[in-house]
Amino acid sequence: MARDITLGQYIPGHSLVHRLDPRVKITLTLAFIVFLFVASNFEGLLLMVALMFAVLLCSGVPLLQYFKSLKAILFIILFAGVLNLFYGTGNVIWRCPFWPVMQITDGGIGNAVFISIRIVCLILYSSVLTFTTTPTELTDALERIMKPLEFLHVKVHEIAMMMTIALRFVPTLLEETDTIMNAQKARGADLESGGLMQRIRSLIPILIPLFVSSFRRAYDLAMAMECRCYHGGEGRTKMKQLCMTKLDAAAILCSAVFCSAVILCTVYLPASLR
Amino acid sequence: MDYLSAEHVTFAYQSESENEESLEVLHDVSLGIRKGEFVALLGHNGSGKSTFAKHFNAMLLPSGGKVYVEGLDTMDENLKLEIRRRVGLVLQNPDNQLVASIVEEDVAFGPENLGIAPPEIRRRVDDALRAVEMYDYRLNAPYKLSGGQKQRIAIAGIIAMQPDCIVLDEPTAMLDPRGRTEVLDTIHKLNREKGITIVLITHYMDEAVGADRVVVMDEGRILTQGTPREVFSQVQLLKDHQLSVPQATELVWRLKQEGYDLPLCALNIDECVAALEPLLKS
Amino acid sequence: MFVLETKDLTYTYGAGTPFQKNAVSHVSIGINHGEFLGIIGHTGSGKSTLIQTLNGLLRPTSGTVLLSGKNIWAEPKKIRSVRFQVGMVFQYPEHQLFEETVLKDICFGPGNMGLDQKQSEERARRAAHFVGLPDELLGKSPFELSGGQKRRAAIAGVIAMEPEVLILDEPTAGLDPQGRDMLLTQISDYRKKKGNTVILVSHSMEDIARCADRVLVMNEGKAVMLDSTKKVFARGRELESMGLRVPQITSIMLALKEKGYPVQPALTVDEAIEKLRPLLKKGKVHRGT
Repeated sequence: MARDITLGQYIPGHSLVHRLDPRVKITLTLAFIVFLFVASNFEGLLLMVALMFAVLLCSGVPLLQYFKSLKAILFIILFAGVLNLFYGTGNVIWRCPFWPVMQITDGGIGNAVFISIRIVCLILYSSVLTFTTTPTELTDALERIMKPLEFLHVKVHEIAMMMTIALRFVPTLLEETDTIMNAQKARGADLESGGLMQRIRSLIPILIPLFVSSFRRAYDLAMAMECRCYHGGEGRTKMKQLCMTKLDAAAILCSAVFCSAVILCTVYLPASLR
Repeated sequence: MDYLSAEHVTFAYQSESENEESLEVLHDVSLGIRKGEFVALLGHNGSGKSTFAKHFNAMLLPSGGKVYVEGLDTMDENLKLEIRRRVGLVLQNPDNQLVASIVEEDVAFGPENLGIAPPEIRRRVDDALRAVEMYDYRLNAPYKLSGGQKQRIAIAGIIAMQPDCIVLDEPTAMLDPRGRTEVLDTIHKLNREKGITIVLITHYMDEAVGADRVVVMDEGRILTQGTPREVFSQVQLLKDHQLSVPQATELVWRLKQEGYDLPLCALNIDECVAALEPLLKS
Repeated sequence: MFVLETKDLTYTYGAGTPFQKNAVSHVSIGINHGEFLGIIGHTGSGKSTLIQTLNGLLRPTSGTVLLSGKNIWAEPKKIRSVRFQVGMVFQYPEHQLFEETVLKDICFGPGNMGLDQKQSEERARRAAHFVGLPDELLGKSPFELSGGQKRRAAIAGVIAMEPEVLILDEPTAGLDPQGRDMLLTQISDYRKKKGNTVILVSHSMEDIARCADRVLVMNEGKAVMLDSTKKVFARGRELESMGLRVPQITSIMLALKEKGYPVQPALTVDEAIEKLRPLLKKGKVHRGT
């Protein structure tokens, strides 16, 4: 039974964010994440949070989906928060009776909140990117962005081709893993019980056939690609062209405004992390 | 002039060690295929039919003899891409031919390699998908399609390069009956309506029955060739070389062997029934 | 008592989600010990799901599967033992080979059953002999074998467990006519010698007609026919309406019968010739071949 795997959990739609050029989306997402760390006080952070809400709303993806993606890393958020609770300076609010070094200060509480908000925003910004951009768009955009690296003899086209093929075959390989597992289970393989070493050993009857078949696939695919006149990146055109529109210009402009405001906050207002 | 021409082709796989002799797989094979013909290349596994077929688009080069595609010598490195544009090759495993995660992008792969302008690629992709009746699936992911659908996408990917000839190496071997029918109908349609030369390598007799000409190979040589009727009437020869014939053909042949007055060959159910009827009237 | 029996078996994929689908619906069938059962049906009819419930790979959503009268899921922790008694060979089984040598790979099944090396190797050699694998191949790496040999090694791997019931899913897929012929002969011989039950899932009506005692027809998740091979293939028109066909020879005999000739149905060419000979006009003309 084919599994419905959509890598990166792409959710189809026609929102403002969906329609942005993927290169712009990748670049802005990276910029936003950087600025999350540039913001050194609550005022700056709040600006990035406000921007994030604006982006979430423009993405047309239900907020529930975003909460689900946070659920996965809830543990990390809590862990980072609690850790920072004990790191900080300022007025001591509580001191651990057994270990006087462990103390919660008001500064620590501020730090915990700050760090937690940062992590949440980081995850949500990334989620917007993967929810609104297809894997193919992402690889195309990365190929275009990396193009200048060709001057440094980086094989950009080949890397992009590898990513495309990998994305194409992930669901197929998952299906094949299922089939192989069933075949070995039918011969009595026990994949569930035993200690760590035993479980690792029980993966051999699955991994070896999978590797062998992957090599065979690669051979067949290479032949099929040559039959279709593949000869590397030279002289290749692309059916789907990436082009930026007024929407992209508007998005870049708005983002620039927010980010400039964050810089101003950082420079002129006192830092919040203590 | 024949469109595809093989002249005294021999082929041997180069052995890896020096002590082993290289294995000669094709021995002095000569064959001409005319433009617009539908040729079925029959043979058991190991007869050399797949190896021979791969010479037609320069995937393999002959160790001896020559192969020409519309006069172009396959040994010429400079002509390789042009030859592969003119002669497409569809392989057995539907999954291992599809490169992209979206159907229409996979069909565009060939034209993109040829450096065709993007608007023209778009046009060719749409035309190719319509020709194989898969236009509605253009935005789907390949892994969700059935085997027959995947093979049709692979065929569309070849058509988008506008070839004159398509060689298909056992394209239905891994498909269920419905998939097999879909693929065969598609290639017959392409042959009839667009005049594309078809070379179908198969070991299924019932697929060869619909061809213009059947060529039978065994042990790296051409055993016999002719119209389906001419070839399938040589039942004993085929059986001696690890092939079989459709049950209809076998029935008529065996009864004829016992001395009944029956035609030389029945290729399908209708012909078989028609042949037996006169003998059953009481 | 049936060797394998299902009672009101249902298997639902994606239960509770919007993609819910009944792959198998309320199937109740009984398989006799020692019989050769063929299972036919269009792709998506539930054949593959059904056989996977028979050896415990899939747990029924509702209904029961009985092996020699016992519910196989009575003790879920012991479900593995069912797979030693109901052996299954998947399509393209050669894709599951992994061991250093062919012999070791065939020993995988018996080894999992808890047999020691000596017993496993004995069984492995017997199984290899059954499928016609020569001894000299046993020490080689499975990846050095030809396609046909690999397939036989994979089938031997299941036969070595000496299961009560052997299920084969399209064992002749991708083989040329001679390869198909040899494999089917070996499977038939195996059953005759061992006297166990064989279930063959196939799209090739000719293969089923040649080997099976009874045929189960699956359509849209339901078991619509379960009868002797002859009786099932006599219902040619019904099968056609389900997207299935009958062996070519059966079609020929059916067509002659529909034209009014007193012709009996036949499953193989040999049988057809036997049935036709008495009806064909006497005074045959003796011609050279």
